[in-house]
Amino acid sequence: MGTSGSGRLVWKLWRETRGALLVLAAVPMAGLTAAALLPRSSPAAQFVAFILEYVSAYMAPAIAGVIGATRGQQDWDDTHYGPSHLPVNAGDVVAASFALPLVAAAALGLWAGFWSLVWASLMPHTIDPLHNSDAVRLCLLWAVLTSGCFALGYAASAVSNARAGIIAPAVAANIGPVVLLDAARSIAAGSDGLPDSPAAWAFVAAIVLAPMAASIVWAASRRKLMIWRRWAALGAGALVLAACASPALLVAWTKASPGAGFAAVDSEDGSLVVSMTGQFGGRAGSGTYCQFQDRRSGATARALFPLFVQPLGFASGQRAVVATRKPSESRMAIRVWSLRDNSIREVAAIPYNPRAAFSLGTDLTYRGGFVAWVRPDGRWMLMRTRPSNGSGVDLWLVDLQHGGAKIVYPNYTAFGDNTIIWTKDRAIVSGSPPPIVVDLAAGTARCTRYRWEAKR
Amino acid sequence: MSRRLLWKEWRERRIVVAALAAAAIAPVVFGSGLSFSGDIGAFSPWLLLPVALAIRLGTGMYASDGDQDSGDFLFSRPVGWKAVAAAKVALGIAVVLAACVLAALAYILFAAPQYRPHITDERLAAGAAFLAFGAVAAFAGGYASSALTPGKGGSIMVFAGLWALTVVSAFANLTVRRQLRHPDSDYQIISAAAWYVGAFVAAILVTRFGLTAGFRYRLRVYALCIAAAFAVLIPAEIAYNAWHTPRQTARMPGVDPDSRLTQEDYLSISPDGRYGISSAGSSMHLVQIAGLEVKPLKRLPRPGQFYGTGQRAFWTPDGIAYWAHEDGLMVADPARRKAAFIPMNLWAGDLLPSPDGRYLIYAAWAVSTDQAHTVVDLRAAKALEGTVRASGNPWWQTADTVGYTDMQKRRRFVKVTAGGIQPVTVPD
Repeated sequence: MGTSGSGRLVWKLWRETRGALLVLAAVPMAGLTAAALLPRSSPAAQFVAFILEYVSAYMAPAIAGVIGATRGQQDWDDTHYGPSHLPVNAGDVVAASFALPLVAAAALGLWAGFWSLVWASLMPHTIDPLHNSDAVRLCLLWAVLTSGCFALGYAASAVSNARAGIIAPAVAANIGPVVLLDAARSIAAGSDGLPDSPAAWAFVAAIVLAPMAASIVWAASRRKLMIWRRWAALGAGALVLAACASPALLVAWTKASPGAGFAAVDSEDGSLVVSMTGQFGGRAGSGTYCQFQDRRSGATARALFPLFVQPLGFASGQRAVVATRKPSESRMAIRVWSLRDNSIREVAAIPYNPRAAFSLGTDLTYRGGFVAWVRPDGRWMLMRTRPSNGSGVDLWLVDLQHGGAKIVYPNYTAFGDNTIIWTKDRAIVSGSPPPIVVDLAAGTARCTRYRWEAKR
Repeated sequence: MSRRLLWKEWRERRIVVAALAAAAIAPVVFGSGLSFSGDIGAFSPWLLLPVALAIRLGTGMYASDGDQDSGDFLFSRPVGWKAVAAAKVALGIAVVLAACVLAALAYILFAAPQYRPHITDERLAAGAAFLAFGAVAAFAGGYASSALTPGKGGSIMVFAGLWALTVVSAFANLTVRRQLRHPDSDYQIISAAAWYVGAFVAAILVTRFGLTAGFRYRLRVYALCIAAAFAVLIPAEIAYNAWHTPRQTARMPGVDPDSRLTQEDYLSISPDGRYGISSAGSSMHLVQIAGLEVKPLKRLPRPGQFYGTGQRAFWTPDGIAYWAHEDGLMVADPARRKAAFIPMNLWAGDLLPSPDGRYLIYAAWAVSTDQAHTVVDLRAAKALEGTVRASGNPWWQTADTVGYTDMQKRRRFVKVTAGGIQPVTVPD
């Protein structure tokens, strides 16, 4: 874009969007500063401050989206006459109508992010100033949001109609206040509250990159048929969406794949520990060396297991229960490892669900009660695996004494940690409602009822 | 309703119908959908695929007539608006319900052997009903969005707009209520319903009186109907709460009406299985467990800062419950209905009771990598003098001796008495 024609395109872009750009720059600066300095002594003042914050945070991405909608609509209105009929380089048109405003939207997002930092630092009850990395992430989040709204407006108006072009970013811009206000609450509570997990960023990438990809395809294919452009743009967006949401990608990012090893697992009283000492793999075979130690007596045993191994729990008599699987096997073996004579006995096998893999992640320990619970006498074990259908957990009852395993409750709605209470013939699994009662002899489970809810 | 109208709808929707059927079956077959043998609420996100296609089916209902100009021809024929609407709704509902039944049949055929004992008629019916509820609601929402703009893309955007406004109105409502210190309620559910009920009524009115009218007229009808829905439903909800909450409170005095357990809350049960500590909403309760029934007994005090909902309580072998706050430790004795607060100036890490339940090791995050462990006397409800700086977790060597690995990786021990902790030597 170095020719005089390109310069005129940039001038045309500036003439058409300067009002919106100035508003986009001014609103976060003025609104967030005013909201931060406003005394919040009464409910009415709090309400006014909330409105100020909401509008300020809403306007930046919304205006970026409106700019995107007007750029994307240029294929339909008369202003496209010039670029399509005058001797202007098609690449320059794309750069002036899409790339340049996209960069401008991102820059103004950084600007809005800066003022949100100012707002956060002026807020009362902020107990910890933002760290540099938090500040960078907050600004980046704003840049992603404004450029994403621009791309969304561009894509929606280009492949659909003018109304869609306005509505889509106007709706999506509500993420701005959500980000701002949620970050404020978290900052006040001592944490940055910004997404740092790969899954959260994959979600952000999905909602931002998908319209962006669609926009790029649309903007770069001006000489194609309209039907081709629509389908190509939609296809590109769908492809990026699928790529971002791909479980394989998430697994690769989180490194939760089986065989990656496990952290040392302690018994509930802290006296026993099973840890990994080494792994090997290759054509000749693979395996994982583990160590079983009694901290009270100092006794130690070492053993070689198949490559995929995860300690599940401990029982009296210096026994540990581990789950193992060879890479080629479609079953997961449950083994009891005795420290006294360093013997290993297989007691049960359950089908291996590739999707669930060892949902026994590498950072989960027995203490969290996340994976399995062994009755202290070593007679029974309850363990959780991911179901083949649904997002709950399959609750397995394993008979450690006589062998055998069965699902007592498929797809149990469990959130976070569970705790378990063992009685002579029952086990009560609680932690997240509804608690369930497992009849150990019958191998069945039933839900409890919460009386308060039952009366409602 | 004539067969030709049904045939027209079928011709226009058959691709979406086929996609909907495939989307209902495929996740079940490939093991990523709805479980028809367990808790139906724990569904895979892939289940959103048939729901999304049900929305797509709904949004295309009237929008396609405007998009393809078939509406002009259709409404020039001697056909009543009721017959047109009935054909669209009948086909849509029938397709959605059929997809749900197909999903259930696919589960019967393709479920793994370990799930087969749990497939019962009741669970199949419950799963199909759950899926049908979501899909029919999605179809109705799409249908409600289809009469505002002429194009299918525009209708999808209208639906997305309604959905986003639903989320935003719920969020804004919660934020304002918290700032005004007004108790949370079910307002957000009612406000969500208001958007769609209003839009649905508007869609009926538009298809009856204004199908040939312009966008502005339709927009006014939608705005008025949604406003009317809010005007009716919100006061109704407030009045219901004003009538219902005192009755709830009177029914169980001393219990927070918001204490009903939800999926995000915790119920930690005592070792004997008789009591539990529930953390629900913004309060914690002592509950009693009898058979399969859980009954709230008493609201527990909540001093100082609180981690929030989902707080898990721990139990000692003799039935003392304890749980961490940001600035201390709560201890409760359910049998005696007593509770005490032990102030601690450190954030809680792991909590480890002694084998007899007398003491508790309270691991507090002191610096980034090390932990400073304090021993708490649960009976006296106080922290003992002295701390243990351990590398990794300590353990109870005996009922009154703590073992730990120090920073030089050496095993060390301390004796715990009511007066404090003292280093001791334990022979290997």
